[in-house]
Amino acid sequence: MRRCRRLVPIVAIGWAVLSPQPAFAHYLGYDSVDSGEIRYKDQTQWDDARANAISSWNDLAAGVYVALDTASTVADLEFKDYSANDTKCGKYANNSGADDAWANNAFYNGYGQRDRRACTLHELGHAHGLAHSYNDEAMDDCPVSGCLGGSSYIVPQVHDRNDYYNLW
Amino acid sequence: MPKKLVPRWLLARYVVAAILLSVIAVAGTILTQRLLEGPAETFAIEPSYAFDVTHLPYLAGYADNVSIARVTGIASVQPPQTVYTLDVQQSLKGSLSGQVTVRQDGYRSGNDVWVDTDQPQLAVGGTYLLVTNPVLDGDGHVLLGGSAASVPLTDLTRTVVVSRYQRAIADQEYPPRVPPKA
Repeated sequence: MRRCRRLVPIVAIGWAVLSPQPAFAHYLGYDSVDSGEIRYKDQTQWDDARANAISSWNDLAAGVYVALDTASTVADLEFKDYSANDTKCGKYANNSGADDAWANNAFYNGYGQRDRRACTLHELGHAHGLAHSYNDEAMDDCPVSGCLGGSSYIVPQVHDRNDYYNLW
Repeated sequence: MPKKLVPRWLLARYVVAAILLSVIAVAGTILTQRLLEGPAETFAIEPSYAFDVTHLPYLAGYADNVSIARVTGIASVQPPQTVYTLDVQQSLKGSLSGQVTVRQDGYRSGNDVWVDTDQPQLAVGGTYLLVTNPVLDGDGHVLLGGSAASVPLTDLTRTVVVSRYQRAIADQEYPPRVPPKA
């Protein structure tokens, strides 16, 4: 019994050191969330990718709700397109007004549905305040099939979800 | 009737007072402008890549041009990008030469600055190794993403950096599972 008591602090310290720590580098420190919502303007032609991203993040049981901007709300995010052979499937820009989630037509035109969905899911992850983090998950800085892992995730993965739940 | 002259010491005081008032007026205008614009804020642009941009043979394989150039100025700001003017000194891949323009994500608007989180803004006067592609819907070129697409060069680093990119160009490969360029 006494031996057990001695073991308790050792196990506690070991657990504290070895257990997964809250990874603050996984968060941007800014986001598009306003009062628990992301109200978006739709200026993208990639509607299927946008719809998948919104439903995938909204399906997570937490407090952020992504919905279309209306006359009585203020837009927090704009889904936009651009075209450039610049190595980027998309990008997210933080602004003083509505933020931007860009889809790159130069890649989206050649992509199948899965890669288009994966890249837009990733950009909407940024709008939730998630930074680039684990390799081969949705918030990998290279989230499509052309990347090292070769995967393209169309729903948030385990670590993406954990980071999301830690934040919201 | 003799002319009544203003004494020199009085004239000097007027001149000093006028200069002081001008300085106060100019400083006041600048200060008011700064206060109206608010404090400087930095915003981030987060790029998401279509392939591993740290793999130099892929980067070289995807690029039309790998060049050494000096940044000579800013041609325009077209949010979310800045268009720089360059003087190309050497072309390692492609045939860029002379004056060209290159677009880079990131810009300044008033006191506020937008930066690509993976790639520092080009500095006017600096010499770089730049990895670029032609702009699709306009003139000039676009800088590719990632820190490997824009490497500042000094006299000390130039030889090493150039030989590393020459090797990458020799081993270049179009990145797998990436659609053909638009």
